[in-house]
Amino acid sequence: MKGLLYLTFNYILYHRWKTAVMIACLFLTAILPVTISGLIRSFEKSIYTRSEMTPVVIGPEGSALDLTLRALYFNRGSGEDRLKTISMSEQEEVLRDGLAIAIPIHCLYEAKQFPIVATTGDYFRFRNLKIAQGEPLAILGECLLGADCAGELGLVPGDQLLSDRPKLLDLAGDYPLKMTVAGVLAKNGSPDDKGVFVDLKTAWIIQGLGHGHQDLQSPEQDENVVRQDGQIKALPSKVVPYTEITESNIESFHFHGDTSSFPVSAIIAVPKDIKSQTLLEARYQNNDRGVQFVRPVESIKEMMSVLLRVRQFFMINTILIAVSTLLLTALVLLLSLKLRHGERETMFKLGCRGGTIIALQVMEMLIVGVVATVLVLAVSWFGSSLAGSYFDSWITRGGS
Amino acid sequence: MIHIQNLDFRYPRAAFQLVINDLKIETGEKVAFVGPSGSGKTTLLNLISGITLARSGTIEVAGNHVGSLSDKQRRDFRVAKIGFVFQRFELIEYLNVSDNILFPFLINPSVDCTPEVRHRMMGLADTVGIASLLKRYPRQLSQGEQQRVAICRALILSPPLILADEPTGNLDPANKEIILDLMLSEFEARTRTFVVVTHDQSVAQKCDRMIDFSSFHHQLKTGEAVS
Repeated sequence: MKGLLYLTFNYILYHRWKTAVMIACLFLTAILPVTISGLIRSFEKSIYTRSEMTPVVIGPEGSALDLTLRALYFNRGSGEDRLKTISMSEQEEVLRDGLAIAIPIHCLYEAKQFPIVATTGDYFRFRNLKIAQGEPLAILGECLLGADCAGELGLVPGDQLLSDRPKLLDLAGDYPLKMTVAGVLAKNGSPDDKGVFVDLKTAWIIQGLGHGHQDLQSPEQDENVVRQDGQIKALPSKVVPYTEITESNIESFHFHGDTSSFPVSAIIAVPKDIKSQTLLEARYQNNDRGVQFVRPVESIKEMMSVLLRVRQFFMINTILIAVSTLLLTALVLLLSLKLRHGERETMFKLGCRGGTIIALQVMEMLIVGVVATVLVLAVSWFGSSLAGSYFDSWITRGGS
Repeated sequence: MIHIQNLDFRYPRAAFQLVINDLKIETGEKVAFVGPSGSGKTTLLNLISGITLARSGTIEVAGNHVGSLSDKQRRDFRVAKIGFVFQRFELIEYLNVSDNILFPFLINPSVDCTPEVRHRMMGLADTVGIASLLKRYPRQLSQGEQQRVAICRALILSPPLILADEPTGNLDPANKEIILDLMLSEFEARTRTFVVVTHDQSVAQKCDRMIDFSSFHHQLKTGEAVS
């Protein structure tokens, strides 16, 4: 056996290019289907795990899948759909009769291309998110960063992060808000790792529904008032809203209107039991508020069924390529056997048994096969391990 | 060393027939098989070594009845009793010179490649003048050097019988002379029996005895050996 191994390795080393080509052929044939299967499994696992943990999502009418991706993956989507929201009062509807816990999610803006996710403290408990550094959200204008977001941006508690301006050339549009990093969440291998979590009110300030500015009621600011009509004061352009919430100006921040009418992207509902879920679903059937009730698992299943149909076509194609490659490999081996006829004859004459000669050639094939397999598994494993976080951020970015 | 009696061999579906009533080759004797191609010289080497089996008759080599040995016993017999030298050298292209010399040990689990064997290999290589080439591969050697490696491989197990099939057939005249002298001196020094198949009269004439297959194109009978 030792002698056979020695001979085999010498043969492989001597014919290293031929061996490398054979390994490359097998590797290239197997790598695509194996990796894609692995990636799809990883994607399925990742996406199903999150959707199964989120029993119900309530949000604006439209695509159930878009709503699911927005609520679970903070996908901002594109086009007009991304601006569709429901009223915050919908939370009360979900909470009514104690059928479920209602967790609002508002996800319209970004900071350095990471999604700003406005929610309540229930969300962190629901997703079991722990704080690794710093403190939880306490005051307006603070944010909690997901582990990947903090890592990629190099931010730690106490640093500041500016929200992205949604429309760069719209000078009359929303102003970016400089947020203070209150803490960093522990990594949990989900889209939460890439989130910038803020309080709902902070998001509404970014959206322009609330703001803070110089106190124009004080007598010393009268010179700044351009025109006054009763309680309504016209401000000159030099009085701009604050773009940062600090201890000194936090008192000046206020909202115009009833916050229960303010928008949220979706509400995650966690029903107490199946019966509560059914009752809740009934409540949303044929409602005229433009709100829909979605079971994320079903939306994801629908999406995956399309993906799996595509995979089937791909696999058929791959099988055909694999068969042709294996036939070519067999041809190469047969030609190799023919070329080595003299060697076999010599071995036989020198007293080697036929089985040993066959074992020698089988061992070479095995080594080629094993090396190709190991390479395929290693690359596939590496790809799959990267895929989890990649898929999450891919979905979060809206598939771009 | 070799005693053949009542041998009758023919290949299936072929007109060729080799019949030997009685042939003896003594220990230490150097014998040349000469004659035209297809006259049965190589066939007789194969029969002596047990690579091919005769349907009738007996071949006794170094006390072993070749025909009555099992497959395994025949393999062990070849390993222990016979050293081969081939016309095309039959070196293994992917092994270097030292591994080619030690090749019988690599393919036969019945023999161990001990440090003494390696020492013997070095000695043999030194004797035939290839000690400086041990790390080279066959393609890096001249034909004369390749045949020297093949001679070392034949001698490494110290077999009592050497069978050589046209060992100088692929060599230029200068190398032929050197290799032949080297083989004969080495075999003589080790008192080995040497049977060589050759078309070359000069090779045959250096042997103790010549058996001419030419007048027995299909049939060789005892006692018809010449000189």
